[in-house]
Amino acid sequence: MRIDDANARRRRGGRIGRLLAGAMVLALASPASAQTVSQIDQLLALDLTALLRVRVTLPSRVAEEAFAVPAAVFVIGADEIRRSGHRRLADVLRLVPGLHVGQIDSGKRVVSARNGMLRFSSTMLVMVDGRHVYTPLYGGVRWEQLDLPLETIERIEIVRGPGGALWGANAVDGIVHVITRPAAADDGTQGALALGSGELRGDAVLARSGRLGAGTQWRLQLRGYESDRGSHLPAAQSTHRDRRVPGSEAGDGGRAIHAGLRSDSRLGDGHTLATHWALSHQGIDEERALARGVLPNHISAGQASAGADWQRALAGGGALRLQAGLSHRRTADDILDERETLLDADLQHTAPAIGGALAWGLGARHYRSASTLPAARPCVACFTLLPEVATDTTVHGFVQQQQPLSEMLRLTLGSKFERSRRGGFHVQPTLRLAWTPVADQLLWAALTSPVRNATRSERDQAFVDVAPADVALFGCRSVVQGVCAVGNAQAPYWRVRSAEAGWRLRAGVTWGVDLALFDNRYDMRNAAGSAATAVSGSRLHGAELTLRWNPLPQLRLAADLTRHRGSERTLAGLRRPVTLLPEDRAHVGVRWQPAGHWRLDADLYTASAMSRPAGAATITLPRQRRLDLRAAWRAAPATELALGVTNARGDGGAEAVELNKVNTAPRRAALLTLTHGF
Amino acid sequence: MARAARRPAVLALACALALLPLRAPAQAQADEAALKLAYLYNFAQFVSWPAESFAEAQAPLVLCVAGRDPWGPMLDRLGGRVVAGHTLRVARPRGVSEARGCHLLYVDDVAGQAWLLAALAEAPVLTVASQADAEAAAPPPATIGFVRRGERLGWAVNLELLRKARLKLSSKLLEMAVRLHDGERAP
Repeated sequence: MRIDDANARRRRGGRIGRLLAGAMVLALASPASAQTVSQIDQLLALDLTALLRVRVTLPSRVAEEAFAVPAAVFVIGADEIRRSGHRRLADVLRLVPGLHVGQIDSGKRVVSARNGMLRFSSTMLVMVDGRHVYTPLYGGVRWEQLDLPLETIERIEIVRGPGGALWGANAVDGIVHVITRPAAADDGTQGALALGSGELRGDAVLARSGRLGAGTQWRLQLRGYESDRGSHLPAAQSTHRDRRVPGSEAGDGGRAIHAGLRSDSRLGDGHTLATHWALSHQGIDEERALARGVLPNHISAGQASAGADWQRALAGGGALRLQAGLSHRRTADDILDERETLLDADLQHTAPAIGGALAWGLGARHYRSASTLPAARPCVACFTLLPEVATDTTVHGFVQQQQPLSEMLRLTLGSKFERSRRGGFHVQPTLRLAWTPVADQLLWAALTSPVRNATRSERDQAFVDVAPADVALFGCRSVVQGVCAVGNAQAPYWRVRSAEAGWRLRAGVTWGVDLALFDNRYDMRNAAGSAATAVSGSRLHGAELTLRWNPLPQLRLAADLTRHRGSERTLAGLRRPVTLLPEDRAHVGVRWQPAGHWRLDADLYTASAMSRPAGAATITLPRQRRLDLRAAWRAAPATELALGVTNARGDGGAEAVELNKVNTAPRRAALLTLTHGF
Repeated sequence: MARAARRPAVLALACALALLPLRAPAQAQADEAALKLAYLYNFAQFVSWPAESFAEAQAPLVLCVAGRDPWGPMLDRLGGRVVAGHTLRVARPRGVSEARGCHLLYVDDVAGQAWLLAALAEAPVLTVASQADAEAAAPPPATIGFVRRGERLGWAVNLELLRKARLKLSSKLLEMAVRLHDGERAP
C-alpha cells in the first residue's frame, strides 16, 4: 500500500515536473508568436485615427505591475471579476492560484491561503481600500458581510504568504486587498440586475457618479441581493448527527442591503483626499446542529464604516499618506449579541534614500468588543465571551529600505514592530531579494517571520449553563455558577518562520509562467517568548504554479496547479497531516472573444479530498470538481447581457466546515445579469 | 443523473450559440502592449526635436524602453524602419547618460523609473509613460501618458513637461489627445 502511494506520488510529481519543463521550454523557445508579430505589423500600418478605433482585448498593465514584486502576488482586474461570473467577493477569489475557497452554506464562505478549510482558522489580512475588515474577534473574515458591489472594484491584489513589513499583524498566510475604483474614473449612472436560482435569487446594483465643484468627484452605490438556499450533504460529509435527506433544501439563505459613498478630491499642490462611507445590513439564515437536534438560527448583522485617505506627492519623488477609519458592527443571533468597534490610523512616508527607496510608517488600532447573551437563552451550553467587554490597543511601526545592489539585483530589508496591551511586543523582520537576469525574467527569494496574535475568542471564550458532567467535554479551565471558561487570557501567539522563492517569466504578451515555493514553520509561543508547552507547532510547504498563454488576442488561457503538504503536532506529541487542507488543486480558465461583442468564459476547478477527525468519526470532504460557464453579449460598450451557470456539473459536495452548524453543498446555479450604463 | 446534471450547461451553451448570429460586425482589436508599440511608432512622426538632438541630418532616431520591456524581440523588429527621414534604432538604456541619447523613451513601470523621468525632465526626449487607470485624471508623469478609457487606449499630454523638454508636437497629436494638462492650470 505504501509502495503504491509512493509510486502514485512519484507519478504525480513526475507529471508536474514534466509540465514545468515543458512550460520552460515553450516559454524560452517562443518569445513572440507568429500571430503576435503579424498583429504588430498590421497595427504599424495604421495611422493615429485608425489606432484610436482599435479595442484593447488584453489589458496587460495589471499583470505587469505585479511582475516585478518579489512575493507570490496575484492581481484580479475589473474585467476578470466581471468575466468570472461570480457576484460574491469570496467566490471571485477562486481564480487565485494557491487560494482555497469553500462554501459553508449558501451565504458563508471560507477563504484560506496555505491553511485548512475551517471557518474560524483564518490567518489572512483582508482590507478594503486600506481599511482592515477582518474581525479581531477570531482573526478571520466574515466574507458574507463584505457585500460591496463588485462593479465598483478596480482590482483585488492578493499576496500569498507573509506580506512583509508594510502590512499589519495577521498577514501570516496571505493578504487580500480590495481596491475600489476612484469616483473620478466613473461617469454617469451604472446599473446591474441579476436574476437566478441555485445561488442568488436576485441582485440589484445602482451606482451614480457626479462632480461637486471643480476638484471633487463622488460616487453613490446601492446594492440589494437575496441568496438562494443550499442543499443538505450526504451523511459522510456532514458535521452533525441529525441527518437530513441529502440534496434536500436546507434552511440557509439570506438577504443584504448596502449603501456606500466615495468621494475623491484633488486639493491642489499634490494633495488628494478620498473618503469612504458605507452602511449595510444582512439577514442570514442558518441551522445550528446541537446534540438535541437541528435548530434554525437567524443572524442579523449591521455595519457602519467611514474612512479617509489623504495623500501628498513630495518634491523629489517621495509621498506622504495618512489613512484613518472607523467601523462599527453588530452581529446578533439567538446565541450572542456582539458589538465590535474598530478605529485605525496609519501614516506612511516614502522617499528616495541612499540610492534606493526608504519607506517608514506609524499606526495605531483600537478595538472594542462587547457581547451579551440574549434575554431568553434558547440553548444549553451557549457560546459566549467573558469578560463581556474587552478592549485592546495596538501601536505599530515599520521601516523598509528597497536597495538596488546592481543593475539586476534588488534587496528589500525591513521590519515591522508591534505592541499591543494584550498581545505584547513583537518584531517581524523581512528580507527579500529580486534578481532580474534578463528583462523578462525574475527570480526572487524571501525570509520573513510574521506573528499571529491570540484572538479575543481564544482568550475569552466561555460556555454558559454547562452541566457538571460536561465540564471535561468542553475543556473548561474553570467553572463558576455554571459558566465554563475555555479561553486562556495568556493564550500563546504564533511565530511563523517562512522561507519563499519564486520564478517569473514572460515572453511578450503571449506567455507567462509564475512559480512560487514556500516552507512555513509555525511555532506556538507563550507571552514570554518561549515555546508553549502543549502544542509546539506545525509545518507547511508547497508549490504554486501558474501558466498563462494568449495564443490569439481574442483568446486567453490560464492554468494553475497548487500542491500543499503539511503536518502538525498534536497534544500527545504525534505528527499528523494538517486537517482539512486541500493538498492538490488545479484550475483551468478560458476567456474567449469569438466576435467583437461576444465573450465566452469557462473555469474548471479540481481539489483533492480532505478529512478531519470529529470525535470517533471522521468528516471527509470529497474531491472537488467544479465547472463555471458564462456567455455574455455586449450590445454597447456599457451594456452587457450575461448568462452564467456556476457549478454546472452539479455534483459538488461539501467544500468547507463550520462545526456545530448545518453545512450545505453548492448547487448548480444559473444567473442572468444585465449591466447598463447611462 | 449525469445526463440531467449536464442539462443546464448544455442549455447555456445552446442559448449562447443561438444568439451568435446576432453579433455585430467584428471590430479591430489588439493586445494593449501591441497597440502601445504602434502608437509610439506613430508618435515619432509628429514630434519636432531641437536641431542639436541629431548630430547630423542622417543620424538615427533612437527609440528606447527603460526598465520593464513589454515587447522584447517585437520591439527590435522596428529597427531599420525609416521615420521622418531618420532610420529607427532601438535601445534599452541602463542609466541617465544613456537615456539622454534617446529621442523617444517609453517607461512601463512608472513607480520604478520615476527617478529616470525626473532626471530627463529638461532633456529633449519625448518621454511616454503608461498611466494607471486610477490616475487617469492626473497629469501624466511623462510628456505623454497612455490612458485607457473602457476598451479604447488614448493619450494625455503634459504641456509643462513638453515645454521643459523643448519639444513640439504636431497639432494633430494635441487635438486627438484625451486630455491636455498644463501645470496647475485647469486640465
